Amino acid sequence: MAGNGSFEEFYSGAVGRLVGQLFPVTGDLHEAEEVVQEAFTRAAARWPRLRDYDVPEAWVRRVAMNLAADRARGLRRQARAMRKLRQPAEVPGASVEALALAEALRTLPIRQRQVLVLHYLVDLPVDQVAHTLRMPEGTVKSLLSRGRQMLASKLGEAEEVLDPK
Amino acid sequence: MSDLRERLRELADVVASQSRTPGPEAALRRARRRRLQLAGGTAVLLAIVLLAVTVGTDRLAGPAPLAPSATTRPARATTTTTPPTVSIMPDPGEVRLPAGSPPGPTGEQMVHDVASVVAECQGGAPGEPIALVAWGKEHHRYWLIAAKPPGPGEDWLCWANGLFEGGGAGTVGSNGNMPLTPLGAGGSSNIRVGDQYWGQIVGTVTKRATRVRVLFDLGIPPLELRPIQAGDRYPVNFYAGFYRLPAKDKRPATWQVVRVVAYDEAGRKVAECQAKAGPGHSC
Repeated sequence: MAGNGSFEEFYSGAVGRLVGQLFPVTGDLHEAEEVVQEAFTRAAARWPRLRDYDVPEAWVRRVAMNLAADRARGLRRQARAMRKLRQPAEVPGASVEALALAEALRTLPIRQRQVLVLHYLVDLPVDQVAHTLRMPEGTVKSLLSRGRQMLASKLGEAEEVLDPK
Repeated sequence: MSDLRERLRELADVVASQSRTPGPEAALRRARRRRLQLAGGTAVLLAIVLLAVTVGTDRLAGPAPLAPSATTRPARATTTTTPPTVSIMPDPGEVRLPAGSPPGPTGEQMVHDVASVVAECQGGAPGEPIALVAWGKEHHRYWLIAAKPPGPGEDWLCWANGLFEGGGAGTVGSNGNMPLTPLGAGGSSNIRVGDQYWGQIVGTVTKRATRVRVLFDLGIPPLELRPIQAGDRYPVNFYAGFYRLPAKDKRPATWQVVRVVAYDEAGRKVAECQAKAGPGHSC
């Protein structure tokens, strides 16, 4: 919660976390930084109102997620996605397993990446994921299920390993 | 073997620690630059308002002024092309949505953008929020009209009209630094949708009118519009409409609107304005 804090404080406290959350969605650090920065720019223009929100970070995250989806569609149109997909994720310091996950995520449709990140990384329940992405809960459940299956397949692991109950 | 949640967290933590974003100042600078671009767009519409008043006082016949004679008017124009002293748009505060609003976060953004321009206007009844009076979607564009009820003794009205693409890019016109007339009009041209071009006309009209007729040149058929009922707190109603334009290379670079006429329920003409040649689109 931002309360009556300054935009600068809000930015400094949230920007790293949001880039971290957007990276698995975009599959590219530079893209993640770009969409988060653009979302913060829009937030800056609305800060007098946004700062009174319970969770202004959720607003920024939603805008960044939408921008990431828009960009992914644009990239597909420009046939640049395939070139990007061939580039390995560059995250120095990440474990082999985490990098393999990043690579596997990049092969999934953008909507699947979004629901997986919002549910497993941001820890949003299904109804909140549905609200954030403006889609029915059933669609979220379906995307989660298919996303797990595809990740398990890509990583050569059982689905239960990825989502132990 | 770690699970999906743990691996995602590890990935996000590493990325967060390595991220090199330009800092909050860059976001504020970009927001300020966009605000200036918006102000530049509204400056054109300010010229329209100035022209409208000049023409209106000379040419409008018949109806009495809509509001009592002027007491005090704002000391400054509602828009400016000089850099503002603040880095962000003014907070419009609560925005009433009697007619709903365009959907989604982008719709919220449009409402906020239009209301912020209204908030810049000096005047308005104390304690009364800005309202989104009307909005619509035509030809892949969202149009919005927001206004603030006038304060005691004010013969002007703070209002703004926005025209946005679906993604939220657009322009906002500011109005409110001049006394109201029975009929005012402004608009946009060269709104391109696919291979077609459209124009938009938007303005205020006396509450006595039940119909607004817009006449064009270039053989464009007249447009019949029903005033948008603004409610008791506003001294005028609004109107807005789109008309199809010939291809860009088949028309002169002037406003295609020739005349706007307002009629009452009985079909009597209650206000009229003639488009004026010159810069800007006004009537």
